[in-house]
Amino acid sequence: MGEGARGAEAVALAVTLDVLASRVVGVAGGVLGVAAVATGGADGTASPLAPHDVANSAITAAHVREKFLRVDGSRRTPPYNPSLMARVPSRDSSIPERLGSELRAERPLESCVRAEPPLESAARAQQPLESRVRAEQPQPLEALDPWARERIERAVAPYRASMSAADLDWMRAQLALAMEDDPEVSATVRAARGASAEASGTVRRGDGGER
Amino acid sequence: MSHLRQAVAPVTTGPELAQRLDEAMHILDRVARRLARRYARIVCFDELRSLGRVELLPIVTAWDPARAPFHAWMKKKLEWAIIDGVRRETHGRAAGARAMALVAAELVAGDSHGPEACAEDVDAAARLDRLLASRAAALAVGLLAGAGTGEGTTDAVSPEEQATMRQAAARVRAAVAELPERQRALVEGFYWHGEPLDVVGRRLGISKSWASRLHAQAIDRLRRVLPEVAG
Repeated sequence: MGEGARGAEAVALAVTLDVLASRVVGVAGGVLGVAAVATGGADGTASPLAPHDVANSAITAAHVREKFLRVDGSRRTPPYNPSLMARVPSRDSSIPERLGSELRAERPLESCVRAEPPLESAARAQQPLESRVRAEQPQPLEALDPWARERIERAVAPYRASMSAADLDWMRAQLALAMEDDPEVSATVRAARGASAEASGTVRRGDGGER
Repeated sequence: MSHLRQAVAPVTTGPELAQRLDEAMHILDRVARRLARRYARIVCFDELRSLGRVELLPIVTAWDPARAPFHAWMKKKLEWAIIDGVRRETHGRAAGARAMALVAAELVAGDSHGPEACAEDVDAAARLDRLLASRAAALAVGLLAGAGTGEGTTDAVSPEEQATMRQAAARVRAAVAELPERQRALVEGFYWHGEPLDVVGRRLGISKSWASRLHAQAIDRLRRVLPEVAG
């Protein structure tokens, strides 16, 4: 083996050690995670563990099945997943506690914000700000009828002087979502719509009402 | 990390627990999916589900059939767990103000079933207006509280708008200072010091659900005062 080959080997070894050092927490979590999966099946092999360990393992095993097994049953490589590792059961409760806090800190929530494809974001940067803000609003606001929009405008009106246009639009979108999928608000919307339809569109018979 | 300490408490075991956990996972998915629409561009679905999953076992084992049906219990408790987690994780970060506003709106939404609300809103349209107004107030207070602490939103705003929001935030602080003592302490702790609602409640010697009610009352008072101070 020549000098060059030995040098390349040394570099490769250094890089490997570096990666291993940076991932030491992840490796520890992985080992414990495998233990969790192994004991978390439905076959009752977890008898040496305490009941809470069994329950924790059941959750983790279900998560692993859901995440890492394809429909056809073949496996795929588990990615580095802090939220999964934070669920590791152990007799020493401080281990998952420490792992959880360390691993969760490595992945800020902002990393979850979906990145736009470069071409799309470049094209959007050419648009005026107002139209960009409008395009980012959730769909429900666009789908609303004048009756609902009027009510939302009335709720937002007191804050027009103290909020940015973007925040006002965001508030409108949130209220529109509430009207659509919040159980209490959507039920009240249906009741109010029924009352207004009765008042404005019902044709009663008798006393000249029948033609 | 109190959830992990709770998780090591003795629990019942066997197929009943496994069945409950399975059912709870489905409820968690639905709750996280609903909240993910609210928190679009702030927190993603997977992260919301993770926040709920961490609390899943303690919530399942704490269920008391005498107090509520399982589904309603899980839904409510998981919503609490997730919005607490969002508040904890986003405090002081970019988009923290909007996350704060959504947490406030969810809290107000969860506490709008009081007898006062029923008596006041006989007419459905009036009730709808009141519900929307209180949610808008919660969103506004959350956003302005964030603006006052330097937390931002995800959208760019002009310098003029930033100045206006800072002024409005200062006026909101003044309005909060006028609230009754416990409401003031709760709003300050929750919005400006980033404390979870149960922690503030404990400090004030009240339960979390009572703290939630107090929060709704504070928002209702601010709703009446905000238009005056904002103008």
